[in-house]
Order: sequence, then structure tokens, then C-alpha cells
Amino acid sequence: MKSKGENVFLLLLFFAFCAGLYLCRQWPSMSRLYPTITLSGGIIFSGALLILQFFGGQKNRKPQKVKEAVPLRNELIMVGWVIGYLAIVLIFGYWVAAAIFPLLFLSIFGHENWKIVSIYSVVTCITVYVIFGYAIRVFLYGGVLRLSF
Amino acid sequence: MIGPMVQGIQLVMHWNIWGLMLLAIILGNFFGAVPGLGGNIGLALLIPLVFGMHPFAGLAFLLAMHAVVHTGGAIPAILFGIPGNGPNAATVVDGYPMTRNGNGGRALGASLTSSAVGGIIGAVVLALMIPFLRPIAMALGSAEIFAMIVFGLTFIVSVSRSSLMKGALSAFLGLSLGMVGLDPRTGVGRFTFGQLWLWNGLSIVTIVLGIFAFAEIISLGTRGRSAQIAAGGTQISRSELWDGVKDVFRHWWLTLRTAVIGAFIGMIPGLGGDAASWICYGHAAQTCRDNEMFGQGDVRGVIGVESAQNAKEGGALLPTVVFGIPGSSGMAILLGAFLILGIEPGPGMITQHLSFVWGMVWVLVIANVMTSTSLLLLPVCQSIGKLAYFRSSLLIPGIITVAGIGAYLIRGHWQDVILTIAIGFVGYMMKKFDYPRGPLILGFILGPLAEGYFYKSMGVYGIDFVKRPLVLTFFSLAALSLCFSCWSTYREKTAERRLSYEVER
Repeated sequence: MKSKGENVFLLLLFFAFCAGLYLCRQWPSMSRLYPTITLSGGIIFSGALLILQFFGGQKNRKPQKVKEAVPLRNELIMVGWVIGYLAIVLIFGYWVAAAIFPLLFLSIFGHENWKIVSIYSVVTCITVYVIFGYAIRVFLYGGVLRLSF
Repeated sequence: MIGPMVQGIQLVMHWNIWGLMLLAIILGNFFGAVPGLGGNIGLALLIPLVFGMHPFAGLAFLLAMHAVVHTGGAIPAILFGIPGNGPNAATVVDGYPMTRNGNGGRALGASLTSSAVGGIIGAVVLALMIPFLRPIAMALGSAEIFAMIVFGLTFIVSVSRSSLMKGALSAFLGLSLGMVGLDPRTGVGRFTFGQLWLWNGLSIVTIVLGIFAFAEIISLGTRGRSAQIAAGGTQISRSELWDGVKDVFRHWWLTLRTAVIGAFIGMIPGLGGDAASWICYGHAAQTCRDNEMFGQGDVRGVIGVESAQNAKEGGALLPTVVFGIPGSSGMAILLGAFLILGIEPGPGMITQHLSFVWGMVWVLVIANVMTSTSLLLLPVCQSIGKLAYFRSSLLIPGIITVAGIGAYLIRGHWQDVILTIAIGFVGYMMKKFDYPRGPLILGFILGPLAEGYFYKSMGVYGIDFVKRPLVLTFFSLAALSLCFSCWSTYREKTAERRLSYEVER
């Protein structure tokens, strides 16, 4: 096996394609033709890649480019930050996220000093307001708390 | 012909028109560079400003803004891997790796110059095609367009050189994402799960921001708080930018080819800028010699895409002006603006208002040249380029804020933000495990178009549509393209295997 992560990724894709094919079986033939072709293609290629991953010979395999190994911990931390940003947006909305997220990220992840953290957060907030609130005047989502103007 | 051409120049040669165009190109670059805004929102926001203006002044203002949107969109695409709008996603594929390899200045120089050259070629095509447009438009029916799209889909092979199987899987994923939404023929909701916001399908901006922007943000963050986007310690210099400028003229034949293809794709209603950029990227990857660097930072990948994007605008203007048929959603908004300004598009534009059409040609040329020259000569690129050398802890909050707002702005659904981030995780995994992301976008754009035109062709001609001469020509080209790409990939792999065998011995 080459990579556990890649196997999981391929398995997820394989099951997603299979589920899609199962769901589209009840649609009229005109709506079903294109999904059937594409989802079957997806099943064939994800299945073939999975088989190659498990049973493919090591001899014929092209040497992979040497990549800098990324610790799983770093990946989980970054995924956590992105989900955290999403949570702030969904609860408090974009205006609060523009102020809070840089503040939290810079101080916890970046270990930046308080001057950079405060200046960065204020500048981000003002820029977002000037561009989206004042110049373009678009409505930005206010979260479930409806903190928008 | 000469008379209206000169009258067209006279229309443009007023200080107020130049002033408006200058303002328009600043706004156009801004709307292009901010993800989620794009040319259509820019046009919609600026239309109220042209009420009461002289028709040509208003037209020059809106057209100049719309013509340079993609030029601005290329800057964040190259420097941060965040495409400003859909078509700029193809610029990321080679532009961003160039920045990571320390050649961001060269990529920017090539992008700005090829945009200008492409814009000029698009305008020339617009001018030259005016007398021939009617027969060409009549020759292209739904069957021919379907065959052309199938031909475009064969470029998936060229775009996925690293591994054909992974490229194909990526393309099928894109094709599957493209089918989400209400089927316009039967009204069946495909993978909408009863959600109203999914009825219109997924937006290309959602996919592009997820697959490229969020994936790159996660990737940058995983490298630690002091990681930089660009390699090395040098910053973008003027000489680097000029190297990029020279690259465009060194690869003049590629620039010309992709610009002409882009202009012709622009003429076909419904295909749009996304298709133009990916088809031209595929064409560049397939036809250039020594193409193993495509996808890893080849300047020709940037040139091919950028020249096609700006040339497309000239092509798209043709059916809009001459037949009143907008070639894209942007052109549809522009068409509305024409009517507001009292300009009635249609064949009458050629017979009675040819000087106006020539005026548009000149506006396209001047706006493109003005944008690229000012961005190259003023220290704009160097200033923005410095950001690529900032540590990741400083870059990520800003990029996430802009990309997150972009994901919401495109349709105003908070669900799109969740979807963008979910697609971002898929994009990160694709990046991590070396799955080419270009085929996914190509499949997402061309798949639904192919389906739509297939059913239209079947409805109009029945299965006999495959016997039409132009359809047969495009199908033959598609087969040739597929065979050529597979053969060249096989040849490369055999050579690689032989080399590694010899090294082992």
C-alpha cells in the first residue's frame, strides 16, 4: 500500500460515486443518462486506482517526487482553523469574523506580538468595511445572530 | 471601411473618454482581483453611473471595465493561488507554481503582456470578422457546438500529464459536480436533496475557490507559521517582469494561436470564458514541445490562458453587437446597458452605426494596452508581489477573509461558504496526493454544456446529427487529439522508465 490517506480518499470517492449512481436510478431516462455515464466513469477509475494501490506491483511504479513530509498534526491544526473560521462566520457573521479571526489566528497560531495583532485586525476590519460596506454596498451575512448592517 | 474606422478613432479621442477609461480599468482590475466579485457584478454596479452619459462615453466606460477584469484576476491567481474569477483558475495551474519557484515576476510580466496582446488580437478578430459573421454563425448549430465541446473534453488528457488515471478520476469528479441542480429538460432535481439553493447548481466560483484557494491556504498553513509562498529571498524585480514580457514575444505563435482560439470561442454563445481558458490551456499543453513542465510552472501555460481570456471579450462582443445575442452572462448585462444608453444592437449596427462598432474595437485595444502598460511600468506588481514573501501567519487571515467573503458574495447563500470549504478539503487532498485539479474544472465547465447541446442536437436533427460535416470534422479532431496525447504520454513514460533502468544499471 502506498499511502493510507490516499486509500481513504479514494474509498470516499468510490462510495460517493456509488451512492450517486444508486440515487439517480429513479430519475427519468433523459435526466439519468449523463449522471449514469459520469458516475460509472468515476466508479471505474476510483476502483481501478484503489486496486492498483492495494495490488499494484512496486517494480513498475514510477518513482514518486520527493515531497516535504507534512505532519498530520499540522494538517489537523489548519483544518481546525478553517472550520473555526466557518463557525465564526456562521454564528457571528462576516463583520465580526473580519475582526475576530485575524486576532485569534495571529495571536494563537502566529505567536505575533500584540502590536501586529491589533493593527492587522483593525486594518482588516476597516478594509472589509470600506470595500464591501461603503464602496460596493453589498449585504454580508450576519450569522445566526444576524449581526449585520 | 476606412471611413468608419477613422470615425471610430475620432469618437475615442476625447479627454473625457480617456478619463472614463482610466477609471474603468482601475475598477475592472479591482473587480477582477477580488474573488467573488468579477466582471458581472462590476457591470451591474456601474450601470447606474452611466445614466445620462453620452452613449459612446457610457459604452466606453463599461466596455473598458469589462475588458480588463481578467487581467486583474491573474495577479492573485499567480501570487497566492487564488483566482480572482472563474477563468483565472487556469492561470493558477502554472502561474502559482512559478511564484513558488521564485519566478512570480516573470509569470506576472508574461500574464500582463499576453493579456494585452490577446485583447488586441481579440479586437482585430472583431474588426476582421464583421463582414463574415453571419455565415459563420449560421454554420454553427447545436450539433457543431456539441462536437466542439467533445473536442474540448479531450484536452483533459493533456491537462493531466502526471497520471492519466488520476486525471480521468478528477475529470469525472468535475463532471459529476457539474450535474448538480434542476435538469432543465425534465425538471428533476439532481442531487439537490430538497435544498432550494442547489436548484441552480453549483457556482464555478465556489468550485474554483474551494479547489484552489482554500486548498492552498491549508497547504501553506501546514508548512508552519514562518513558511512563505515564494521560494528564496528575492522580491519581484523589474527585470523579472521584463523577462515575462520577452517570453510572450518569444512564444509569439502560441500567443497568436490561443488568442484566435479564445476569440472564436467567445463568439459561441454559452461557452464563456471558463471554457476558453481551459481549452486554450489544454491546447498549449498538447502542442508545445518539451511540455513536461506544464502544471509545475511553465510560462507557456500562463501565456496561453491569459491571451485567450482577453481575446475572448472581442469575440463575445460580435454576436452581442451584430445579432443582439449575448455570448455570455457578462455580455447579457452589457446588452442591457446598450439599451439603457439608447444603442440598439442588431444588424443595424453594421449598416448604420459602423463607426460605433469601430469605436468599440478601439476601446478594447486602448483599455488592454493601458492596463498592462500601467501595471508593468508603475511599481504595482512589485508592491503586491512583496506579499508573496510574507510569512504564512500574516497572509492566511487576510486570504481566508477575502476568499470567505468571495464564496458568499457570488450568490448570497451561506451554504455556499460551507460547500466551498468542504470542496477546499477535497482540493487539499487532491494536491497532497498529486491529483491534477485542472481536469476537475474542465469537466465541471464542459460536462453540463455537452449534455445540454447533446439533447438540443438530438431534438433538432435526431441521431443523424453525427453525420453533419463539421461535426465529423470535430469528432475526428477529438479522436486525433486523444490518440496524440495518449501516444505522447506513453512515449514520455517509456523514456522515463528506460532512463531509470539505465541509472539503476
